[in-house]
Amino acid sequence: MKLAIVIPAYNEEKAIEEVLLSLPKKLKNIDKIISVVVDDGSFDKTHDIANNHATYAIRHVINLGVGAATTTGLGAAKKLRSDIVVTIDADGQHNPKDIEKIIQPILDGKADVVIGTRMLNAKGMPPLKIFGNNFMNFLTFLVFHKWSSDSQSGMKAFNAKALKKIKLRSIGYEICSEMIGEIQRNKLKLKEIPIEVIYTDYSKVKGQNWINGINVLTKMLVIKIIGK
Amino acid sequence: MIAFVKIISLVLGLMVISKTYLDYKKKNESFFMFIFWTVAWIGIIIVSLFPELINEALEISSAQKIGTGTFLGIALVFLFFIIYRVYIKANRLEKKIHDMVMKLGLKDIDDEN
Repeated sequence: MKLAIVIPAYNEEKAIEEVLLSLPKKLKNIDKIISVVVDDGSFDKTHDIANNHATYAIRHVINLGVGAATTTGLGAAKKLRSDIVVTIDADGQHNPKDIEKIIQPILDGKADVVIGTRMLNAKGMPPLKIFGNNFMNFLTFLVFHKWSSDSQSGMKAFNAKALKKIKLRSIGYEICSEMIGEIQRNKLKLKEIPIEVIYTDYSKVKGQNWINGINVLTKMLVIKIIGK
Repeated sequence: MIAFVKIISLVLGLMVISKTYLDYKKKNESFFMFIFWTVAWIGIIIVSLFPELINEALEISSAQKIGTGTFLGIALVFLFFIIYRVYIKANRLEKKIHDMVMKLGLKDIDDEN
């Protein structure tokens, strides 16, 4: 079994080294672990750090958005014939120890996609973020008719079947909602596993804001109406 | 309120015309497009400052008189059609750029058999 850990990153020189160094080196039932950093056109040292510590450091020539970087990372994982792919954020808000937890349902054959949900144990999450995430869950459900307790989570695991079937076109944050739509469209088995969120001053300022919510809704509707 | 709308239209119009002119000077836009946007926005400014001109123009041009509301409705449909076309084109371009950037990023990764 080969596990690829995909990390989309944009100007993350302050956090990415620690994230890469803390990734698991060995996991039960996994023969090989590779890390794939997709630098989305950063103008800091993100790419250099990724070159030093990641198995593969991919660079976007221009900044497109987290969705584009994630799609490229998933494409790389597919090319590298990974059996399981995990995506995590580069800002250090995810605990790498949770990777073992979220791949378990895939290893057991109980899920095609696993979402590491922050909302089932939202301790430490600012109330505004809790409200914002629930609002996005509601919007995602409204557009794609599939409920997730944390549709915007960056920590997800996919098996090879899901990787093959999911077709993404989003380039921004709307990719999280689009993935929920793809899980629904392809009738993939979804499981949610509670994960820990590490909120530092650094990770708190990263992520989505309110205006972006409107943008995400518009893009979701475009994807739904116009299609891919 | 009407005076406020007129001022906003005037300011917006002048902003667009000056931006078009700057783009033309920087050779980011062709002479034809510069003239097109300038004429179009001068027209918009004139109509917003003297809306009664629409009625007069309609009376002169139409054999059968149509109301200002109908005229604005037709204009709105036309504008939304343009917005839709621009949005579709922007989406297609976004996808092409995404595909190109992705291909460039992945070109160094060899297929592992």
